[in-house]
Parts: sequence; C-alpha cells; structure tokens
Amino acid sequence: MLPRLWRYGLVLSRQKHLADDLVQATCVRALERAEQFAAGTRLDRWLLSIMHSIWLNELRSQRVRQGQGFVDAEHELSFDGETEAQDHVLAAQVIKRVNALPEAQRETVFLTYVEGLSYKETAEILHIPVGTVMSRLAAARLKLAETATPRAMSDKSTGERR
Amino acid sequence: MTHSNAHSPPSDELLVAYLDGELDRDQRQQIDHLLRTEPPVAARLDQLKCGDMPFRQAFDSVLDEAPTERLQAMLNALPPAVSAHRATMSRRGFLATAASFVVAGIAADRLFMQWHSAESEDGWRASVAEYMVLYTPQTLDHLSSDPTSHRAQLDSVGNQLGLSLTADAVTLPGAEFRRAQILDYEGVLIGQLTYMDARHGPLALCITTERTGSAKLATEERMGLNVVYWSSASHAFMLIGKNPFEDLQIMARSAQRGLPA
Repeated sequence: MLPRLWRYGLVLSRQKHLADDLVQATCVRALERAEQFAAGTRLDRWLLSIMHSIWLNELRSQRVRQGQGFVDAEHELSFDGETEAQDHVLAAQVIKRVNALPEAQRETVFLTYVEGLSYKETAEILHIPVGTVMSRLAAARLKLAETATPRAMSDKSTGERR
Repeated sequence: MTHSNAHSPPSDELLVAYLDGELDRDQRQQIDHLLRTEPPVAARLDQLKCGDMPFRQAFDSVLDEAPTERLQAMLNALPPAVSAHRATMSRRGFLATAASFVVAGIAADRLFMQWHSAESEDGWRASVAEYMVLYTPQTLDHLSSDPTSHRAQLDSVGNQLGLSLTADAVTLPGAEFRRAQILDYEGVLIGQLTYMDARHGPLALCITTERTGSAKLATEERMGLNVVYWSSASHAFMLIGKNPFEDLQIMARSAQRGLPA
C-alpha cells in the first residue's frame, strides 16, 4: 500500500519530495482517524481519499502561498536516466502526457484508469458528482488524443464535435 | 445519463462511459445502435478512443520507484507530538486500528507505545469526544427509526447503567433520537444516545456510572465539539455536538429533568 500511496502522491504533486510528505501526512491523519475506518470502507480507498483531501486543503495551498508554484511538467514524474528500456520509454511517454493534464483531470484519470476504480468510487474519493467524473474523463481523453502520435491523428480528419 | 432524443448525438461523456463499461444495458444498446447508423458518432468514438493509453501498465512501473524503505522508516520515526492527542481512545479501538494498519503494512507499534503511556489522564469525556468527532450525518443514515427497537435499545442501555431510560425521558428539544448503545471505555460502560440535529448534525447524550462532577452544568470544548456536562448522585452525563453552548444547555436541562438522580 505504501508504494501505491506514494504513486498517488506523485500524481497529485508531480514531485517526489512532496509525494514523500503526502504519504507521511496521510498516514498520520489515518492513524488519528482510525476509528472512522472501522466503519467499514476499504482501506486503500480510504487512504487515497485522505491523501486527496490533504493535498487539496493543505499541501497544495501551502505551495501556492509560498509562491513556489509547480515545476514544469517536463521535469518531474519521469524516470531516472539509466532506465531506458523500451517499455520504460513507452511508460514515460504515457506518464508525461497524463502529467500534462490539468490537475483535476489528471487525478480522475489516475484513479479510474490506473487504480481501476469505478466512476462511483472515484467520485466518492474526490467528493464530486459522478457526472463530473464523466466530464473530466471525456475532456482528458480528448486532450490525450490531441497529443497522441501524429500517425494516429492523421487518420482523424473527420470527427468534428457534434 | 439518459439519452432520450434519438436525433441529438450522444455526449462525449456518454461515449467515454460506453468505452469504460460504465453504462447500463439500455444505454449501451442505444449507443451500439447509433454507432451502426450514425457515422459521425462512430468517428467521435474513435477520436475519444485515441485518448486511451496503457495507463495502468505505465504507472505500475512507478511503483518500483517508490522509496518504500525510507517511507517505512519515516513512519516508524513519527514524532510523539503527532499522536499525543490520540491518548484517550480505548485499547479496544486501538487494537482494531493496529490490525488494520498491519494489513496496510504500516508500522503502528511506535504509535501504540505513545498512546499507551499517555492514556488514562483525560477521562471518559475525552474518549467520547474522540469518538464523536468522527461522526458525520451519514453515520446516522441507516439507523432504524422504529420506536419499538428504540425502546429495546434504551431498556438495554438503561439496565446496564442502572438507570431508567424511556423515550420521553431522553427526548431532547430540537433533536431527533437515532440510537442508544453501550460503549466500553477501559472497562467502564458508557451509554451513548445519538441524536440528529437538523442544523448542527450528530450529537450525543452520554452517560456513565463513574460520577465525576457536580449537578451544575459545566461547559468545555473538545476536539472542536462543544460539551456540556454534569453529574447526578449516581451518574455522570455529557452532551456533545456542534450546537452552540446555549442550545446544549437547554437540552441538558431537559435531560436533567427527564433523568433525575
């Protein structure tokens, strides 16, 4: 579970040291509220949900307040230089594209398509209606399609919206 | 999510939900039909499909990058201040917590030590506050509103506390009774009567046989909740919720009348 939490922290913050902080804050909060968990939700969902709130309400605003802003999407959440195997190149490309999405779309794509949650579960973790999950995914897919390989795009001269 | 007008194209949201297998059978059939009969719909679906990528595969490789050992060490080294105010949760609550975190692979033993050593100072009101702060209106959503089961709950709690609890006696002005149950705080029984206040959310009237104060109403704040407490000759009482103190004091006087010594 720790690596999965860290990965979500990285998707949210796009920086490794912030992902570390997020894991720590999440575990502290989870232990503080442990009895809430006994109420019977799935532990992994619950921890993801706590991390989401901490990011939204605490760490992110702190970053903005401190005027540090966010690093350029080009420079983080990527692989170390040594790991250049073919699979990793492909994976790095996918991550880079997801990473370039606006935050709300990014985490919705992550929870639904990476963590494999249903729309309903994703909505619960993010505290948004299912309809918002749907519109974020639709917007994200369009944006990802735009940045897809030129070969894939060349076949798509039609497909005008409505 | 319905799509009643056959002449307007389905939204992108609906098409994406179709791709993600999130539509029910009727909706899926409607889209299937449109894909066969309306080329622009099929083209739009293709475009949305282009946004599909091996997400899971890509991000699974990130898992290997997680500094798991460092995170584990960091958890083991959490400073005492972080968990100091946990001090008053019951050992039973802790054991459940510890079990859940062992499953999660999170080391909780160090937290347990702090917890254990700090326990017992603050008394039952702190314990109740720890518990009540976790309540949301949804916590009380699925409780039975059947008067017969309420009566049975009150009888059972009253018997264990040596106190006559009737529905009338425990009615609080402005709040709807939801449930009575017994909680065990380090071997001391606490009767917890839970109510829902339309404006301020869940609140509880808690009763224990450990007499700790005077008949005079006293107030305090715990965990961001307001508490009014008092004692009879045989029992200690507390009302806890987000209601303003004035509200709680009115309710407390009503409870005092209903539950004399």
